[in-house]
Amino acid sequence: MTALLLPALVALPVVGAALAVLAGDRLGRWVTAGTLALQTGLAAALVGRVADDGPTRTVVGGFRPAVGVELRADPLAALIVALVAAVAGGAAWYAGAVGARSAHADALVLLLAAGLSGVGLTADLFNLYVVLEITGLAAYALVALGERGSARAALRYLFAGTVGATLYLLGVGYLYVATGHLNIDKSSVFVSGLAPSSTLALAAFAFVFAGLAVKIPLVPVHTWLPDAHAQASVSASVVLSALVTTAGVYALVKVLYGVFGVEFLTAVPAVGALVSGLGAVSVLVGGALALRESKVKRVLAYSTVSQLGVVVVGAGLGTRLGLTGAAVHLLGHAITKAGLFFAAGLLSLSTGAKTVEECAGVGKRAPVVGAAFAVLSLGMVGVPPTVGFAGKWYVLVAAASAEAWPLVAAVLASSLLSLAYFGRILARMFFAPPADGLPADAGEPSVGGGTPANADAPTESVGASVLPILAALATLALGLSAATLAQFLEPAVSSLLT
Amino acid sequence: MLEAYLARLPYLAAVALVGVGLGVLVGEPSRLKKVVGLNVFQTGVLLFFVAAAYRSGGRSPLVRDATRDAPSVNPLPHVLVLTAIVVGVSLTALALALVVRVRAEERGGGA
Repeated sequence: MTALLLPALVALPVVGAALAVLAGDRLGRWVTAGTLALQTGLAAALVGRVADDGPTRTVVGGFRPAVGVELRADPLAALIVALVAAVAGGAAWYAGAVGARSAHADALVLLLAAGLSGVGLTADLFNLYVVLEITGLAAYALVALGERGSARAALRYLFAGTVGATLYLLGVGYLYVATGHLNIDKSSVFVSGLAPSSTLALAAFAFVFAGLAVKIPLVPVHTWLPDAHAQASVSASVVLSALVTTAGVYALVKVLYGVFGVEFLTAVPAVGALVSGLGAVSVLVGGALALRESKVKRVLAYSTVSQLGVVVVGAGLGTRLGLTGAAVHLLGHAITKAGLFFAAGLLSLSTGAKTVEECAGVGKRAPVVGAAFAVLSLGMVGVPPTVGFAGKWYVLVAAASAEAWPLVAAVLASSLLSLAYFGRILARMFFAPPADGLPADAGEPSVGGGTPANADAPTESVGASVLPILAALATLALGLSAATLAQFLEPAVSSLLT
Repeated sequence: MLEAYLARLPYLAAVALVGVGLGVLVGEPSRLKKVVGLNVFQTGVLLFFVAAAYRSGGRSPLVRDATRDAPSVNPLPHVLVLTAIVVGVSLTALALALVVRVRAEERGGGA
C-alpha cells in the first residue's frame, strides 16, 4: 500500500483527466469531482503517514534509487500535495457552481494537479523538468480557455515558460555532467567533489535559477504573469496563482538545498544574496505595480509577484528560521490567494464589479463574500492572527538575525504595500457609496442578488460562496496554529539544511 | 587552440543553436517564426545532452558486438533527450494551435 501511495498521487489525476474527457460535459463533472475527492483523501492519508512515520519514499519500477525515478515525501512535500488536491477541488467546485464547467477545462485542472503533485514528490532532477512541463502545458491551455484575448496571453506565457524550463534543463545537463547522477541527493554537488566556486557549479546554478525564476516568477522575468493570470477564467486564475507559482518556488527550494546545499550558500555568499536580493526586488516592484492597476484581478496577479518575493527572501537566507518562514508563507499565500480570486470572481458575478472603481459599495451589497474578501486581504497584508502574519514574521526575524537589514526593510515594505493596494479596494468596498455607472440591481444584499446579465447564475453561486469563506477560516486557523505548522515542517527543514 | 575548439565542435554547435533560437524568439515579430525559434533553442539544449554522452570510439550501449571491447557511450542522456523531444513536440503543437487562434481573433475584427 505504501509503495503505491506516492505513484498513485501522480497517476490518479492523469487517469481521471482522460476519463473526464471521454465521459463528456455532464458525466465528466462527476468523474472530476470523484477523482479530486479521492486525490484529497490520498493526500490527507499521506500527510498523516508522514506525521506518524516520518518521510516516505518509493522508487518507481523497483530500480536502484541512483538509476530509477525516486518519489519522496517529506512533511513539506506532503502538505504541498494536499494543498494541490484541495485547491484544485475548490476550483472545480467553483466552475461547477457558477456554471462555467466544461469537461475539457476539468481535464486540464486534473492534468495540472498531476503535474503539481509530481513537482511536490519527485526526487529526480530530470523528472522535475518533465512534471514542470506537464504543469506548464496544462496551464497554457487553461489560460487559453479564458475570455477574449486569452490566446495571446497564453502564447506569451508558453514562450516564457518554455524558455525557463529549457534553461532549467540545460542546468540539469551541467549538473549531470558534473556529478554523474540525476537524483536530488542531499548535497550531491559536494558528494561528487565539485568545488562550490568552480565555474561548472556556478554555471549550473545560474541556468537552473534563471529557468525557475521565470516559472516563479521573479522580477524582472515576471512580465508574462499579469496577463496570463488576469485573462484566465476565475477557476484557472486560482490554480495558476495559488498552485503553479507555489510549485515553482518549491522546485527552487528543492534544487537549491537538495542539490547545491547550504555549503554552497556559505561558500559562495553571492548566491544567497542574489536569490534573496531578487526576492526583495520582486516584493517592491510587484507591490508598486499592483498599486497602479485598476482591475481587481490584475491587482491580485501582481500581488502574487510581491508575496512570493517574501518567500524567496526567506529561501535565500539559508537558515532554519528563513526556510520555515518561506514554507509557512508559501502555504499561507496559496490558500489566501485562492480565496481572494474566488471572492473577486463571485463579487464580479453578483455585482458586475471588475475594477477597483466599480467596487464602490460592493461590501454592502454582498456582505458575506465581501467580509471574506476583507479577512483574506488582511491575511495578505499580514495582520495577526492570520497565516500571512506568521509567515512574514518568521521571514522578518530570520532576516534580522542574519543582520540583512535591506531584506528586513523589504519584508516590512511588503506589508505596507499590500496594505496600500488592498486598502484601496477595501475602502471602496465598504466606505464608498455605490457609483452611478454600475448596472442597477434589485438591491438584494447578498451574492444571491445578481445582475440581470447573470440572471441564471445567482442561485448556483451561493454554493460557490462557501469557498472564500472556507479559505478565510483556513487563513485564520493556520495563523492560530502557526507554531504547530512550523513544528510539523521541522523535519523537512532540517533535512534540507543538512 | 584551434584543435581544442574542433574537439568540442558539438558543444559549439549547441551554443550556436541556443543563441540563434533565442535570437529568433526575441527578435522576430512573426509568431510562427517565434515557434520555430523556440524549437531551435530547445534542439540546442538537446544537442548538449547528446554531446555529453559521446565517447570517442565507444560502442552502442544496446547492440552487443563481440568483436569490439570498447566502453559504450552513455545511454542515459539519450533516453532523457527522447523524453525531452516528446515534451517539445507537445509544446509545439499547443503553440501552433494558439497561433491559429490568435490569428482568428485578429481577423474576427473588433478589439
